[in-house]
Amino acid sequence: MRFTVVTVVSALAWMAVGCGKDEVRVYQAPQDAPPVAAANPQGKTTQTPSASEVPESAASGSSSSARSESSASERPAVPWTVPAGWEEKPASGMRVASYGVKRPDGRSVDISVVAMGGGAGGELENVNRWRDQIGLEPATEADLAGLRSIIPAGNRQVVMYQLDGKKAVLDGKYPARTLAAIMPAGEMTVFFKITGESALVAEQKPQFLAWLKSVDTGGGGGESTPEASASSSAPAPASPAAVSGGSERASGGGGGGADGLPNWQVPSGWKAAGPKPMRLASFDIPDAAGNGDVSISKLSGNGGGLLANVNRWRGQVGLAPLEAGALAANSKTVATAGGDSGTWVELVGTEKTILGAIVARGEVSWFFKLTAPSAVAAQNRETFEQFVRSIRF
Amino acid sequence: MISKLFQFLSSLRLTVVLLGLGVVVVFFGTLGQTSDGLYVAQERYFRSWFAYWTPHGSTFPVVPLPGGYLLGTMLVINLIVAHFTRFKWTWSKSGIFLTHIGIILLLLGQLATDMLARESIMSFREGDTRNYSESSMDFELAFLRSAGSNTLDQVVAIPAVRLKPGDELHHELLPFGIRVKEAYENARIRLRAPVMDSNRPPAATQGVGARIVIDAQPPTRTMDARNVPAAVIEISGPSSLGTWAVSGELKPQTVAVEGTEWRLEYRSVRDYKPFALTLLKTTHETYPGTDIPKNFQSRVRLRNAESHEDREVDIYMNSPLRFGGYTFFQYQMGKEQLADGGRGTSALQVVRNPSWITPYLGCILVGVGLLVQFLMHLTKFIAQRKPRAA
Repeated sequence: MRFTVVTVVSALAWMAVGCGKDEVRVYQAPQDAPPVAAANPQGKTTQTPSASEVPESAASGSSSSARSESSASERPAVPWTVPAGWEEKPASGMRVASYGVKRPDGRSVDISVVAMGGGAGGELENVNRWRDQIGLEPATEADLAGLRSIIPAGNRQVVMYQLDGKKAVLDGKYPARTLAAIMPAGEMTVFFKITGESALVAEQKPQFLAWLKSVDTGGGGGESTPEASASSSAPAPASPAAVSGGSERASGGGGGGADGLPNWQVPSGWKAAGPKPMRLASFDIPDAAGNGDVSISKLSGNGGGLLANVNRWRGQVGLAPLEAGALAANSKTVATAGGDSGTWVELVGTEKTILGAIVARGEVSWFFKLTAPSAVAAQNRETFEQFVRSIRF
Repeated sequence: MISKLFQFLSSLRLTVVLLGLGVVVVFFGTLGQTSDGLYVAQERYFRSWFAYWTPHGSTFPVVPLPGGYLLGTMLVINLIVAHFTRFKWTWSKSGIFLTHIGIILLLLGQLATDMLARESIMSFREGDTRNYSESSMDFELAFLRSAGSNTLDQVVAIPAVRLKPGDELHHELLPFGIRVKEAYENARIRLRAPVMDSNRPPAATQGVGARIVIDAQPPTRTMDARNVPAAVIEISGPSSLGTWAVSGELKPQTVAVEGTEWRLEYRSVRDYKPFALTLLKTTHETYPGTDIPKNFQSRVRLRNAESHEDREVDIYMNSPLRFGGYTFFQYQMGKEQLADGGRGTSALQVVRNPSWITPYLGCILVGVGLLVQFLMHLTKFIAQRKPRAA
């Protein structure tokens, strides 16, 4: 009998294994140390709140979590036509879609769609990252124009870069080539990229271009992406037609244009420029001494901070950064026709000058910037200020 | 009737059958690892009373098996009952008795280990201080608010297994209810992409959930990956406070309820310690010309406020730190990205096993028992030979 009791107690104890695992625990614990400020691989602080809330693992694609394959049937329908011969691969990291093409001789190409917040580090940084991946030396800002082409993507025009590697970086046998299209969309940027063995990428280029053309960017007339339509405060890049002309933009009512851009008076002589990553609109100011470049862009929140942006601009014209307390003395307030006020800076470098206005409106910040040779900027200073003052959100 | 039962329970035949079944369970448990992975196979075949093996890709139970618990229990019962019914204590059998006590100790020790032992991971970067380790398997949905001081949080932690779609959860310390809308054992979080996700709503209405989507992933069973669960919950105070996406990949979010700020975080289950370790330095050496690790070493500073202990310790392969009932083994080592500072990182495996001594004692008893029995036979044999030689 004694043995039976021992046995039953033993069995009950055994069966108790695992109990308590599903009970709510209540306790007091020391507070965690505040997290280290998130930084992107370029060492700059991230620009969108969303990017800082989503962990580095999800933003960089280097997660410790399981990245198992998911069947195509589980995935939502893609808003493009997948070219024949492209094999779907599991998306991982920041990739929203991934495809591949393989040849029996071992050559392959990788096609990816990546969406990132803001400008994702900037155009030059991204191009140089892609160049580095295929063994090319970094390019300069001046080189970009020669590498860039404009191609159709859905009902929009986007910038595409073709980067031809020379070194045999793939298995030590093949050089690599990259084609990458950049599509700004609201507060994010979408990158469509194909990279792999040089000849195979060249062979797949027509399919890549057809694929981009098939992308359903939604909206009508190329003024708005579906993302922008879904978000109340996220306008898409305007097409050149939407911002061309030398007169006041049509009012969309409700304090802004129908495409999400504010109304403004475009000075005569300014020419609407083609689409550029991160920009909502661009103008060229033709001048024999060197064209002026006007950009209008928008970032969520404070766009990384007023001082940080001013210091970034200062760096672009070769000026030393300002200390935190020195900004007020080096800027003034500018009022727009719509009643908003912004911070106006004039950054005169040895060769180039940047005139800029930063207007914070609720959860977004607008950036109006003129970059030109110093003499051209000086001639157009009044015009640019009038342009800024004419803005009505 | 009872005597027949005792006869059955004490029989050597039962012992042989149980040991044979043990071999079979180990065989199928090993096969099961290929599809289930180590941890699931452990639970299914060895931490269970009954199990069945199914061929890979089939859901039909093909081979019914006794589970590890059943075999272990039966072996202990068999051995104990045999001692009290069949075996008679004599000095000449003391070695066998010792051996059997050792085996019983091994079996019971394994049970105690199974019930009491906990493994977790303490990972940090150089300069970081940790007073908790985290489970590598289990997650919890933690709600935190300040406990009235600047240094302490009040935590209400709901285990991931409680998050089932449709369930409503309440706790006396939470001034709101939680309705589970969606739950995923393994999911991937990514920013909601323009174009791609235009026809797909955001994962939730509040917090970062309004900017992300959750892609369900098949649960992983491999050793080098872990499931990262996610869920969409609705928080309701006097009125609904919207839906929130939570995931092991997301950072803490804040929700204000009746003037109190709560942080919600889906995180690995934490085990807090009454002492803290600071990672001072990591050393990662490989054999020249290879990536084969030669030495992983973490220099940590151990501080215990209660005992005023403050000392530096080196933890490296085969030289763990034993402190406060825990053993800290060097587990992994790495380096964070240069942009984040390029500091060395280290992960220590933290094992708490109050019954760690039982396998040692069991093995010693078995060894001593066999030795005693052998020596007794030897001396008897020698004693029997001597007169013949004479």
